[in-house]
Amino acid sequence: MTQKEALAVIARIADDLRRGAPWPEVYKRYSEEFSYPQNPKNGDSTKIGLLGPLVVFPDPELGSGRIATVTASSDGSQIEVWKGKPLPIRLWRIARFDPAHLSTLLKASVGDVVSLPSELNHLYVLYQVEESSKGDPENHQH
Amino acid sequence: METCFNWLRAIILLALDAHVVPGSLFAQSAQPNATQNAPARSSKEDDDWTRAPKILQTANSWRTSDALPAELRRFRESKTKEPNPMDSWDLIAQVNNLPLLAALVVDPGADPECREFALSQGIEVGGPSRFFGLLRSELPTTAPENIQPWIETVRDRMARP
Repeated sequence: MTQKEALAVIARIADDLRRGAPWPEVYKRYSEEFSYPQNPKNGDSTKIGLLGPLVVFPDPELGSGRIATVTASSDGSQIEVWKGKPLPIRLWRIARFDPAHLSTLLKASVGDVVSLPSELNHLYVLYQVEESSKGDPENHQH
Repeated sequence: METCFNWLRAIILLALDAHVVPGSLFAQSAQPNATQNAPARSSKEDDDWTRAPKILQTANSWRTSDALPAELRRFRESKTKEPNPMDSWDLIAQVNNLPLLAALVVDPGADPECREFALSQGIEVGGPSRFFGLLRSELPTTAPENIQPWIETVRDRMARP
């Protein structure tokens, strides 16, 4: 998918979501529209990558490493490896998250649809905010 | 005035030119370990694939008066890169019982990694507001010395000033 095509698809998806269409329904429609021909080896596959829910938060170690795709010297296959400082467990679930998106997302409100380019991962990323919280200052240790 | 939050839960979708299995979850692929094609499994590994669903069934029907499943309290991580359903990360990542996860976060007898996994899973499944609300009632005012630093860490994370 070219950059122009990706942007056009994201704009269509974002419009549907802003009109209130449920996420699973929107995803099903677009993943089918942009599916690859059936392949016995890979089964059904699509150009629209669904990466699921995630919870993001400020953390001093966010961005201290990243997942990179490299070519294995053994067989030439493409594999993913972690580059940089090992992440603490609390950040494992957002290992693929682009930290450059954090400040924009933390200013968004529930229901907002936010599209951001990721230079880190060479992708356009579309988020829909489900919940936002200011934390619990009562529990902060003084 | 602009509001800035400290925790945010979102669904993420990418448009990219890559083969992606529909419905595969970000969370399940987020552990920063490279995975490769799995070889044939040994009989012990087969046992693990049989045991894990039973443990999860027990965990997901757990009630407050029950003992926490021992398998969730002991940290286990395979030496190989192949996925193993009994590895603590994989096992706890499939628990959706929030009261159990909250109990595991503050369990002084659980391994630290298991408590950390439980906190991460609880936030993911319940969302920060709901899970922190549940956790708040579980946090002890006085805790055994071995867990006190962790309890303070949890309080700090809940605050995220």
